[in-house]
Amino acid sequence: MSKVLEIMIIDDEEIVCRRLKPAVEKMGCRVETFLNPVEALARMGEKEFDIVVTDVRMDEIDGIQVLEEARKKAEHTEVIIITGHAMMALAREAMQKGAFDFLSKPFTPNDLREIIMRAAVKLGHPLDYEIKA
Amino acid sequence: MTSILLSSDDPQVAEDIAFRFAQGEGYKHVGLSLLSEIAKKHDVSEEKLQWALDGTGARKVSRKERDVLLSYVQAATLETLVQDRVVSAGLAAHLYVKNVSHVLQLRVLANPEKRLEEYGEQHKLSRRKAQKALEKLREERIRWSTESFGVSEYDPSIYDIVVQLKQIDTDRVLRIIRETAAFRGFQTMTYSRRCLQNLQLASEVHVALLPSYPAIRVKADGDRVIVHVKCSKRQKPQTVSGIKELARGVETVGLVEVHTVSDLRDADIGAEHTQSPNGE
Repeated sequence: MSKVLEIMIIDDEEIVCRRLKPAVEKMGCRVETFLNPVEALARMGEKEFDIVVTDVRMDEIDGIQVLEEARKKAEHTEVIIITGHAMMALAREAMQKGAFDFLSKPFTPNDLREIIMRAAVKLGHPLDYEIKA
Repeated sequence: MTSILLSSDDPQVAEDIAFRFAQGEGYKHVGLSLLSEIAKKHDVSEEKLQWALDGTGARKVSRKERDVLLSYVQAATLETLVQDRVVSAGLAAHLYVKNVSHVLQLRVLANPEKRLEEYGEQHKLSRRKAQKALEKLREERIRWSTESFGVSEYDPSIYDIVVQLKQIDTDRVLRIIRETAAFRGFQTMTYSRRCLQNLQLASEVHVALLPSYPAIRVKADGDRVIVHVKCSKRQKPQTVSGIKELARGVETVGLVEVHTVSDLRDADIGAEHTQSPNGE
């Protein structure tokens, strides 16, 4: 039986978390969502996540800090950055700091699923899921 | 994976480095050989495409024709660049591929002494005359790149790396490219791939519109295309419907937005595909 991937989604817009959670759970992953990045970081201290999907612009802590913290806490964790304020400099910074991928909003659930599928392969736990158009 | 755009004050230098890098690293090399395909596709002469790209010497094509020819080159080059691991030189891509983070842009300046010597020998000119001729070439290239793409190719800020073949030899340049291309910041990501796809779609729409509407800017975002066009109030209804019809003829175009402006500089649309800044 393949490993169930643990996925954390952080976005201060409730609608994003509400929409992405079931979309990713459909892939057979376990998903926890956080509106508050401080709470998300605290949770990372308690539990290791395979993949973290995080927004960039949030109060208190931004997505780049989440990326750095996530990589510090668990080196194998792959971080996917999602943002409505995509810019080349930010994208390059995120990649340099170890992000797995960088996705600009708006995107479809399948866009994120496709990235999670690739991250799962990199983690050595490919998902038994087929993306339907 | 990274793609690489090379340019040089000596086109042969950029071409040689691109070829050697592609051979050594298994990249696809895209250069002037693409022109024959473009010529065939658009039923234009390859020679004219070369003139349009050269930008120096007596004008052998009109400004309007040059813009159309360059739009063909741009669309065809972007089509090849959407694949990963491409190294390109000679197609002016360093001037129209903007804000794509996985594309590494490198300017290689030829060894000035060697270039002067070779140019003098090639054109049978004294050292002083060769120097003057090279200065003139430089001015013409600045004018051409600014007129055609709104940016001078001599502006170092458009490149990630500028290197001169003086203390640094070609082998070292190849190593610099290889090492820089491996930086994580230059790796393809979903966002940067989309940026390039957007540029490609915008360039295709531009090709479709340019013969009828020479003063336009085109931007794409997914399958949505945004066109800014310079036209009078009286021409507006006809212009908008004409642009929509032509743009919808391009495969993968969904929604078409047309904005009429009296001055194209008012069209603040970021990393757009830009027809000449003067719109003429």
